[in-house]
Amino acid sequence: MDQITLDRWNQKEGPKTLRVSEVSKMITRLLEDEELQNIWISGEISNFKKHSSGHLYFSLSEQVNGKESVISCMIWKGAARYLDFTPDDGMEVLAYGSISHYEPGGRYSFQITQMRPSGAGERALLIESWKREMALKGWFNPERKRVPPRYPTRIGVVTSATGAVIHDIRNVISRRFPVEIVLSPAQVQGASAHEDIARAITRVQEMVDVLIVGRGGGSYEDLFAFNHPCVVEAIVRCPVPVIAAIGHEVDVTLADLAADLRASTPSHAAEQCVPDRQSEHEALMHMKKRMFLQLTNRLEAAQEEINYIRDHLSAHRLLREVRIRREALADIAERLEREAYAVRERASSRLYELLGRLEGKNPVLFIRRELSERRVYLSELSTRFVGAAQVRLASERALMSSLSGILKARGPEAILKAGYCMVNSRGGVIRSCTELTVGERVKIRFWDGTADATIDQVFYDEKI
Amino acid sequence: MKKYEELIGELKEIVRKMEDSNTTLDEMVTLYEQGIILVRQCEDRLNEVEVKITELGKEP
Repeated sequence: MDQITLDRWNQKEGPKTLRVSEVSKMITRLLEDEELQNIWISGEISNFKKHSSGHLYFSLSEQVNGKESVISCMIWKGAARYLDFTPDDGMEVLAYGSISHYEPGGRYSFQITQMRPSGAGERALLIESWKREMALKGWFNPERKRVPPRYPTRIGVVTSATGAVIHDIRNVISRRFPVEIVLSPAQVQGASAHEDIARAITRVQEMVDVLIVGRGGGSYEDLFAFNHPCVVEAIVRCPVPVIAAIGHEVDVTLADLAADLRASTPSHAAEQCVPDRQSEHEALMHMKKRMFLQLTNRLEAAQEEINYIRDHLSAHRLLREVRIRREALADIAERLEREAYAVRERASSRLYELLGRLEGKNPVLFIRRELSERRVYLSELSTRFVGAAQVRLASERALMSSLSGILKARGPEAILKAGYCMVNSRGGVIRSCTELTVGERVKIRFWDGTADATIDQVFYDEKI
Repeated sequence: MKKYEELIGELKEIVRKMEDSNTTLDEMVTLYEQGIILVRQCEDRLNEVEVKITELGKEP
């Protein structure tokens, strides 16, 4: 194109003076070439200014091999209204518009009608994939979360050395609790911010009890470093609890998710780090009160104890106690005596009873008594016997004389006298010849005497 | 020098012992004296207004 332009100039003969307006028009014509119309340009915003009129002025820049290229840009108020984000310095954007030459100012600018953060979609996708990987590694697990120490002595802060963050943290902490803050400065923005932040974390982590990783509010792009795996890993590997305070409450970076605690602002992080001096004072007062109350209560109890003991130790009480004991003793002695007497009484009456019973069984008495009774009974019997015997004798005699008469008339004497004999043997009367054995000696009774005989033979009247 | 956390821990233990009904009066008096010293130490520590800031160099 340059070549064509030069050729055109070469066609003119001799030096020709052109009017400013002519050149200006030429420039306009050249710049408003269709190649520069309705194009997309990507670049980083710098020198951003919002004019009071509502028009936006800034530059789009790019560095290639250390050489910077800049294009002036503007967005008219009407187009600015439709931007769905607030442009700011340092932001990478993709802008659509046309190059336009402003002849009265001798300046050209890129007039933008549409603009959006560049790479936003790609970055969001990248963050999503990182997030998935980290979740699989368990970096966001709730059970990983540690509780920061209640009373830290050294607090590490990873943030920009110059920003408001360290200032805010310092203010809050100095108001609340005396601790040492160890600032590990880091570049929190820019292409290599993530490496710098990770390094700052590892540098300070061994020296402190708790670590705040902080950054003030910023765009999605600004906070991008805090999504980077090397920052998140440094937080996960940090041996002390990490409190993240990155951007505003609405911005949630992966570092926020991996931190042990998340704070909405750096001041909030500082508050979470240290206890409040005032409430500590109150707690101390409370403990002091509790101790004092406990001691006074215990003293009162001891005093009461002493009073009680003193009351119980008084002479009057002692004497009364002795008297009561003595009475009790006398009572016991009396009861014992009474009991002993009763026992003795019971034993002796039992003894008497036994003695009586024994006396009752005494054979001498028994015999003596029985003997007289028997003697009486005997003499009575004897009398009765003699009487009865005499009566009986008389009756027997009478009977005998009568029987003797009968006997004389009917008795064996008469029979024997009639010639019958009675044979006796072995003490008895022989009534049958079967009772006799041959050779037996028998006595034969006659009415006036007896004769001994020997049986020679026995004859039976009938055959037996 | 003991950490504030240690001082508070000791103080809590003393309060706990004092509230234990098995503690004798003598022990309690001793505990109270120790407790008051600890409270004062804690208060002194809290009253230190100085917050020290150490800035690490970029490369150690």
